[in-house]
Amino acid sequence: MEIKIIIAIVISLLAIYIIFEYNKLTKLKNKVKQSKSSIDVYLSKRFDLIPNLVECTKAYTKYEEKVLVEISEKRAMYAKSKDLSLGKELNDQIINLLVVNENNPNLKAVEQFVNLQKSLIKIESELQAVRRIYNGDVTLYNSEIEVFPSIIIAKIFRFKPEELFEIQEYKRENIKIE
Amino acid sequence: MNKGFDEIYDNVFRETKSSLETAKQKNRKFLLIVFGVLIVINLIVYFLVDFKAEVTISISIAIIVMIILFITSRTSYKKMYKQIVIETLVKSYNNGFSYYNEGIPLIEYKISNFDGAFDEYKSEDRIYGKLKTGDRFEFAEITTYKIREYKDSNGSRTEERKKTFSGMYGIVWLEKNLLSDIQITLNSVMNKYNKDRIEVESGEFEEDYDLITKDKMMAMRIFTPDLIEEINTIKRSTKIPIEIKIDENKLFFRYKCGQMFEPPILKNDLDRDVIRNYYNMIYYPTHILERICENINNVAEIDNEE
Repeated sequence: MEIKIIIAIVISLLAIYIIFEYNKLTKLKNKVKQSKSSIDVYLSKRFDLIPNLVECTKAYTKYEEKVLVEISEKRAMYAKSKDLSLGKELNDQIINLLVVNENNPNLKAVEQFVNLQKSLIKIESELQAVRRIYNGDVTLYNSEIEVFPSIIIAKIFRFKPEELFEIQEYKRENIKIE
Repeated sequence: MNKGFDEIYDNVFRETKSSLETAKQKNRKFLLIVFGVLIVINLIVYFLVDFKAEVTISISIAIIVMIILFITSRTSYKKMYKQIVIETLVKSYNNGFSYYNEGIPLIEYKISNFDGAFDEYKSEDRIYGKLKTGDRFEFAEITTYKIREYKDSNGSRTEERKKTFSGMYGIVWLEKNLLSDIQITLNSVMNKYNKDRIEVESGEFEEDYDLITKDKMMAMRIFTPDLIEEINTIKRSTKIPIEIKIDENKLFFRYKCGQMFEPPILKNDLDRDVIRNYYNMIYYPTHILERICENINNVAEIDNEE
């Protein structure tokens, strides 16, 4: 009789622990999803400036039309898929384009381009902040699903590790804010 | 313009050596005169008075008077030392900074909410000025105590004084209002469960501190990886963590370093290591405050550009 009570207590405690751990992992995963959507918000804000950037490039810089079209298409694809790796690729292309434009002396005095740079700097600052918040949440989540004994719960309920997000930075030093 | 230690040490040494020597000699002369007078009085008592008890009383009074005078002269020497050496050091470091022997008023410490309740507060050695970002600051040595009254085993009331904080405390009045609260507190298990806690990428930072704020975006824009690394560097160099609180347009900080500018007892008063310690007391907090204010100003500039 006593043994039955002990077994019942152990099973109850185990069940409580499993519920507690499952809820904790779910909360951490949701936090990661929330941070990911913040990254998407700022990446989208940045990509919304692409038409402006393409216009400046066409007007003042000799740049391959093919590349500009590809950038516009990738922007549309990102808007549909919200795939972060695609976002990273697109971001790299935009930064390359910006560097080319910044080296163009004709563009330095163009108001449209200067305003574009100022908007990009602000979004860059916010994007780096959300990226760090996202990476912090991913680190917490990944640590929790990899340590013992929560690794057992993670494997049973198929919690998978998330990837950190790194993105090329748009350096402020290139710009003189007047 | 903030100057390096090597640049200012020779200046401090040269400008203060003779004034310190004069102050020391004055002190010594006074003590020697009093000592001489007391010896004469005791000799007179010894030869004139027959009763040993009165001689003993006279010698005891002389000893007590000497102890009181020594403590008083040490206190007044400390004040003089600070006026001469610390003031010169502060001015040499940055001509725009000022040093006062008086500390920060209690009300200016209470608004930070660093401490819960305490019963006694002392403050001295206030330094104030403007950082290179244009923000006004002040910091001082503060000590707080909690006093507990209880009845001992004999039934008599006893007081127990416990030091709750001893170190540096300061305020920066920010030119820009962040409209946010951000805290860097000492690492604590309870903070791990705080939903406003942000995980920072630096493992070293996470071991010593917790970053807590409702405005995570603003906190990450100000406390960039290089600023976090600067905070780590201070902890590595001094072995003492720094607590920071930003509350809209004020920045409060606290640094548990103990006494800031006490003259050395065993070492030479102008010993290089002693002056270097004083220099670090000024350099480390002003350096980190300038870095934080720079980032705050950068963020505000970027936001205002739009």
